[in-house]
Amino acid sequence: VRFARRCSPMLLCLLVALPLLLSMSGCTKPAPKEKVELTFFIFAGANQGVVAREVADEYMKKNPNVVIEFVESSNILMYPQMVSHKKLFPNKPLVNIGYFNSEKQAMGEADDMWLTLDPARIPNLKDILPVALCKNGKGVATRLSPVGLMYNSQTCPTPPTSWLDLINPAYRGKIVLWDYIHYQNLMPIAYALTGDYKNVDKAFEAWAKNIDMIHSLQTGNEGLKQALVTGGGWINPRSSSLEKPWEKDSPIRYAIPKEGQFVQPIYLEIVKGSSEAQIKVAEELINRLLSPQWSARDAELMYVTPVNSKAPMPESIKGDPAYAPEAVAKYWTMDWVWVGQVNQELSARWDREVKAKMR
Amino acid sequence: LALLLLLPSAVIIIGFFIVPMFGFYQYGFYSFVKGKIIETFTFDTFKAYFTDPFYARTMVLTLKSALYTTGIALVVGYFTAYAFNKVKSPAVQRIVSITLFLPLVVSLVVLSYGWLVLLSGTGIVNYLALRLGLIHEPAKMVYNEFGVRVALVHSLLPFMVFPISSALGQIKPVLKESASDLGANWLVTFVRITLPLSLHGVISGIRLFFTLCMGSFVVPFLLGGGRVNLVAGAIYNDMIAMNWPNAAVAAMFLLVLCTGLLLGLDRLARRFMYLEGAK
Repeated sequence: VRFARRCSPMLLCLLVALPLLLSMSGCTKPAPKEKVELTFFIFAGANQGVVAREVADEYMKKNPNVVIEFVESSNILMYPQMVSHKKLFPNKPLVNIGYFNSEKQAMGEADDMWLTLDPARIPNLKDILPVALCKNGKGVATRLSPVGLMYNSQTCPTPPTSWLDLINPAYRGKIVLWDYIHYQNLMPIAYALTGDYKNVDKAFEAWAKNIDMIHSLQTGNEGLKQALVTGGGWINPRSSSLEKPWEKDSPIRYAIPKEGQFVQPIYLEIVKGSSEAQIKVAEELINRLLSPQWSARDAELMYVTPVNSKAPMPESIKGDPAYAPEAVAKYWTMDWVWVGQVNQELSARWDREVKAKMR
Repeated sequence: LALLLLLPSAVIIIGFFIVPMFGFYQYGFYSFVKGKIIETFTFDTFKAYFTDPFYARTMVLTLKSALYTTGIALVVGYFTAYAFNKVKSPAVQRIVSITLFLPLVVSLVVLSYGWLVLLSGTGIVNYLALRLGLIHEPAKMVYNEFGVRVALVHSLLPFMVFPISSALGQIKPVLKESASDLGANWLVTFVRITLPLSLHGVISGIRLFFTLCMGSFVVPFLLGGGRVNLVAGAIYNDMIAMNWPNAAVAAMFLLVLCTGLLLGLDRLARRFMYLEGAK
C-alpha cells in the first residue's frame, strides 16, 4: 500500500504518457483499413503490363489492404464485355481501371463509361504533354505512339516519304491496310491532300480511284507482319511502336511521312461505378504511372513517347528520328471523340466504296 | 427415362445457347447512331441491312462460297471415303483416319497461317511451280477466294468424309457381289448400287459441311485479305465496332437461311432413306 501510494502519481503519469509516446512513435497497431479490391485491365502481349504490374506491386506493399487483380485481354474483347456487364451491374464494373485505345476511349465517352480525372487528386497531370490530355478530362494518354509508314526494306524499292505514297501508282498492289482503322487508312490521306484530316470524302475518292493499290486488308498483327515479310505487301500505315520490335527479326522498317506523324494515344481510364475507395486507389495508381520515372520506364519498354514532359528519353528510342524532340513538336493528333462518332458511318462507306470494289 | 437423359443437354442448349441468342437478337430491333446503341424499338436496322448493297453482296458471296467449297469437298471427300473403305490393312486405315482428323486437332488459326505460308508468293507451291516451269511469275493464291476455298476444304473435310465413309461401310457386300454375278461392271455397280445407297451419307456430309462453311470466320478472315467478305466476318466486324443491332440482324438472317437450307436437305435425306427402305 505504501509502495502504491508512493508510486501512484508516477504510475498515473506513465499510464497517460506511454500510449501517447507510443502513438507518436508509430509503435501502436493502426486501426485495420478497409480492404479494397481493384481490377486493372491491361493489354495482353509482350511488355504490355510490365509497368502496371510493377507499380501495383509497389503500391500493394505500401498498402496491404489493397488487392489489385490484373485482367489481360484486348480492347476488342474486353470493351463489349464491359458494356454488357454495365447493363446488368451499373455499380459494379467489370474492371475499375484500364488501358484503352483511342477508338474505345471515344466509345466509352458515348457510353458514359469513364470518370473525369481530377488534377487535384492526380498531381502529375500538370506535367503531361498537352497532346496526351483529353479535352474533357475523361482519361489521360499514358502512351503516345507516333504513326507513320512501315515498309519492307528488302522488297520496297524506294522507302515511302509521304502519306500520299499510299495511293502512289509506284506502289500499286503493295499497300497493306488494317481493315476499318479509318484513322490510318483515310484521315492521313485527307490530311495530306487537303490539310484537314476530317475531309475524308477526298480520301474515299482517292481510294475509289486507286483500289488496285491495296494488297490486302488485315485484322491482326501476325497477319500484317506475314503480309509484309513474305506475303508480297510493301507498305502499311502503322505506329513506330509496333515496328520497333519487328526490326529485330524482319526487314520491316519505319519512315516518317513529310506531312508529319500523328500520334495514337493509349488512354488510362477509371471506370464509372467504381466505389470511392477503388477510385482513390485508381487515382493514386494513375498518378504513379504518370510520374517521370514510370512514364520513362513504360516508354522504354513499349517504344512510345514518354507522356511526362519531365521524363528522360529512354535508351530504346533515343536517337530515333520518330521520337526526336523536333518530331515530337510536329506530332499532330485527332479529335478522337469525333473519330469515334463517325466510325460507324465511315465503316459503312468503307464497305461500299472500298471493300465492295476490291477484286 | 429418355427425357431424363436428354435433360442435361437440353438445359445446356436452352440455357446457354438459345436464351442468350434470342437475348442478343433483341438488339436487331434497336438502332446504332453515332457510335451508340439507341434502345428504342425500331425496324430501321432491318431496313438498312436489307437495302445495303454491300450486305446483299456479302450474303450472295457467302452462299456462293459455301456452294463451291461444298462441291469441291464432296468430290474430294467421296473419293477419299471410298478409298478409305477399300483399304484392308488396319494400320493404313489408322494412318488415313488420323491424317483426316488432323485438321480438327490443329487450331484453325495455325492451319490458316500454314496455308498462308504454303500458298504465298514465296511459298513452296509457287516455288515448285516456278522451278518446274509451270508458271512464269508467282501465282496469286492467297488474299483471294482461291486460298479461302483450299483452306476451308482442308479444315472441314472430315465432316464430309466420315458420314460418307459410314454410309459406304453399311452397304452389304452381297449387293455388289450379286450385281457382279449378274454381269454388271464396276461403273454400273457403282452407279446403280454404291452411289444410291451412300446418298444419305452424302446428304449428311453436305449438311454438316455446308452449314459450317456458311458460318466460317477464321479462314476467310486470315486468307481472304479483305477480299472475301462473308456474313460471319461482317458480324464479327459489327460486334467489335459495338454495332450490335446490325450484327443481330445479320445473325438472325444467317440463322434463318441456314435453318431453311438444313430443313430442305433434311427432307431430301428422308426421301432417300425412304427410297432405300423401299429397295
